[in-house]
Amino acid sequence: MKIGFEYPWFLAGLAFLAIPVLLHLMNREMPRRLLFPSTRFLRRAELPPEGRRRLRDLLLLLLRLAALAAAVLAFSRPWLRRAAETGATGAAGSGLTVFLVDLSSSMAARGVKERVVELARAELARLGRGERAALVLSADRVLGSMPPGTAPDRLLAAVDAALPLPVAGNHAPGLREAGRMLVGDGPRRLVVISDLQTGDWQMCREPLPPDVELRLLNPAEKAPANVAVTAATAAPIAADRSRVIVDVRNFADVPQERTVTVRVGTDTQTAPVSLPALQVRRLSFALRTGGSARGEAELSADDYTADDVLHFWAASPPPVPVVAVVPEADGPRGQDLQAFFLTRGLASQPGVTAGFQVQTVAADAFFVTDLSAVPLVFVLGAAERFDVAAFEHLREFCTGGGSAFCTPGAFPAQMVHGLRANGLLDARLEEVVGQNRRRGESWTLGWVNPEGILGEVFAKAEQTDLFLFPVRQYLRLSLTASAAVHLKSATGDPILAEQGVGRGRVFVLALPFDTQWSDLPLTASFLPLVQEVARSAVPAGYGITRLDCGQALPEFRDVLGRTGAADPGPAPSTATPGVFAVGNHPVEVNVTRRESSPERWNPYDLTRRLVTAGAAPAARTAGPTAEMDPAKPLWPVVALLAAVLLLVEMAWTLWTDRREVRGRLPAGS
Amino acid sequence: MARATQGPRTRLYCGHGGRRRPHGRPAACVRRAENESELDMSSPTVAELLSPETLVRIDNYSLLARVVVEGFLSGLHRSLYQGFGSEFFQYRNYVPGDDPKTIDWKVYGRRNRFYTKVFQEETNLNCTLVLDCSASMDYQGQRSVCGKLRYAAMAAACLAYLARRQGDSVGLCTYADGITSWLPPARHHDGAQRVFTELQRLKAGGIADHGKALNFVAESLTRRGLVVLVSDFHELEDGLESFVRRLRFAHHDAIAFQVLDRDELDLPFGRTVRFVDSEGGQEVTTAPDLIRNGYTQAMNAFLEQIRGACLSHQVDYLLVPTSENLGNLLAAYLHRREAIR
Repeated sequence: MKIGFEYPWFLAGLAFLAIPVLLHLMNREMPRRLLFPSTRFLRRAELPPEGRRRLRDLLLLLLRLAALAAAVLAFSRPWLRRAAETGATGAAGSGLTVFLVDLSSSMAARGVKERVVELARAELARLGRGERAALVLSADRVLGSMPPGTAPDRLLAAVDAALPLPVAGNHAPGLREAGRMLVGDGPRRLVVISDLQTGDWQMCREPLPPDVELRLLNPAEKAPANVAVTAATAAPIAADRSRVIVDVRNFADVPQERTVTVRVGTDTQTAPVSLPALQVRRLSFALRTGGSARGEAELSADDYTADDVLHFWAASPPPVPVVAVVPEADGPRGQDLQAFFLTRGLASQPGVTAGFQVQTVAADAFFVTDLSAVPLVFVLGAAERFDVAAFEHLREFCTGGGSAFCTPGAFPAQMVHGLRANGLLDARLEEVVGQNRRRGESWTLGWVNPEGILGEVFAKAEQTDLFLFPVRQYLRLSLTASAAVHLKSATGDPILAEQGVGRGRVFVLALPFDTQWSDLPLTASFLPLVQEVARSAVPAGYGITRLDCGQALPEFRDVLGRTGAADPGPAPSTATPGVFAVGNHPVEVNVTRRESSPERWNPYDLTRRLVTAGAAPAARTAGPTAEMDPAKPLWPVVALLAAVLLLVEMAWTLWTDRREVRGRLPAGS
Repeated sequence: MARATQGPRTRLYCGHGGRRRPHGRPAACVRRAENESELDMSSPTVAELLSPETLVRIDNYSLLARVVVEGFLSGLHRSLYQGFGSEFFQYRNYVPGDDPKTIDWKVYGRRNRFYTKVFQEETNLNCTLVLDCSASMDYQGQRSVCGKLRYAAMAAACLAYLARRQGDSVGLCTYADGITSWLPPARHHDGAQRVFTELQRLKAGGIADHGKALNFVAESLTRRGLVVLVSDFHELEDGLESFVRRLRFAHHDAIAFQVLDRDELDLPFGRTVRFVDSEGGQEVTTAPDLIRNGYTQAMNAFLEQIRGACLSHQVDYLLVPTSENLGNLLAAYLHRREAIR
């Protein structure tokens, strides 16, 4: 049976028990002032001097002290639990101390390693006679361990030789490993040497085995005044020049002065930066790439150097994969005309920006298309051919953040109905305007939403032919207020509408890329219209895979689920920072910036988290364990006791006062 | 006991609206609180002074003088003058000039001499209420329903009510460190009403100057009448006897109501109390538990001294604890007074 307190610091409040006693002893009874008709017959009483200082009403004082003590104990949240060993067969007798050493990236701060060795040496020197020691080296996994009974010298040498890895810490596996070792009789102790960074211990939810004494040693009591390069992105501005945007963040609560150096190929630029406390500064550089794709942004060194360098992809990003869904793969001429115009439209890039790579897919094969790497899907007159599975696939794609661009085909009513029925567009088709038009009758576009995605491109009406080409047919859609309109005809009918679906969007164009409907594909406005819509659907930084050191390389697939050309060489390592390409996919590997954060666990909170009795003990994979009865909280009982004592004290006081008054009154009054 | 003098908190004014008093003395200038115009919200109403519970107990009694008194009108009381009346007083020899109607012809038939019958005249009463309004009358203990002054005012109002009902003249004199109000006995209806109004606006304060007030009353009353003293008589145990003697020498009937709070009688306080004299301001810090016996002995001696001074001059004395029912007290007293008249 064991009694403990969740907040033992509150027990210091028991010192307040002295206050009532001192007041009782020191305070003189203050006489009550009474305006009396005549004091002629009153004479001063000879009060015994010791009477004011003696402990009167001793029982009342004890009641008050007990009530106060019970209240303090209730605030300390006492608990009671009894442990029942069930077949524990660990090494009996002698004590065991397991050292868990944090080797995450943040432990690479200046001076921390020496302090770790110093703390380990001091703890080893405290080991009792016959007490065994073990070691667990932990970063994002268990890097190594030494079993109980390892000689202290060897253990200390292992700690001295261990180097922090450039990875974000996760000590849950290390704690689990230590828990396996801490089984058996005798005193058991876990010594954790860590900077207690918040993220490293966030996943540690399993309590330690019972009766394990936990000792937290922080070799970096004060977080370093750290400044880090948190982001660097390159955007080509000419054939051999790139603009590099660098974000520098000051994690310290004091202003910092640093120098930022950016290298791309052989070109290097340096700029000073002044950082207020806890602020981010963005710097811009223009460098000659010289054909190199590897860039590096570096800060002047501080106490934690791992986050002072950031590797980035300096070349143009790979083309963005776009899927164009057509009604049939080999349909009659005219059905894939839309795909033709789209491909030409997206392929005509200025040369320095990321282009698009259009992959055509037939409507009946759409439901098996892998859209995980695709940000945008053009459904070119194919939605009317979609079945339930295809619509479901499209809806999942949009809900997950993708964008779909739909144009009508031969059966526009079925397209609108299918989109509405599957929650992709809240609209109704009023009519197909111009379906039975008279000869020579046509319409034009008349309005561009100035706040929409096309507002900036077509801001100057005199410089665009968007409103000049004839529209012979278009769909008259009845939209709800949830849809945004980017283009309208001269008669006010919506031509290009947008509706949000989950995290993604659905664009609907009321006319196809078909010259029988309009001359839009033949105009100069067609390219900027398509490209602006496509660019708006591509998230920033798309196409570059950014990994932390130690993270596994993802498998890159195309829209058909193919992993690309077979690469006979070994897969690139992500253990160290750097930039490389896997096929057409650029990959940036950097030291995790999670380790840059100065946020630390409060030792008491972490102790409570690891030793908490409220959490269910995790199932252990090896060895017998000691089962714990769940701790019974005692504070409700103690709080009830405090309340009862308080009530008794009040009742006692009231009764005493009344008795005293009655004793003073003459008989019969 | 020396007492500190009170500051000039009051001003003089004439209670008759500036008219000279009928007995030719200088206008009785009395003092009233400066803030007279300010209405004291705690002031009792006439209905509160004359509570129905009290009146119903004393309604069957009369406030009768136990000595002959002088009055202008016919009333319940025996007059100093003999003449026409309903009560036979004595025979005397007929002298020329007497009204032949007063000759008792039956005696003439037996004695053959003329005797005339002399009757005791019955007249009305001049009732003067003398009320102590010093600061010591402001006390109210926990067992009392009201303060001493309020209680005294209620008793005075009841007596004034009885006097007015039987056609007597009622006057009022209130005093503290000086005369704060003086209303000479007046029989008309407005006289009693003025007494009630004055009783409503009483406020306790100041150090009682009994000698000055009582001398003023004694000098002001020229006709025999009834003087009712209502006070706690603190500091008056030595001067009371001479005053009542003076009243009795002037053939006044007198009643002394000693109004005390029950706390003054038994000192029921526990623990240590710092008593502050309400008039003198002296402070005595003491433990009532330890001095209670001595206090009650001294208080009893004081009461006995007051009572003795009254009774030795045939002045009715009534101890009135404010915790007692006023109606019961007055009814018992009036009943006893009627019985021994």
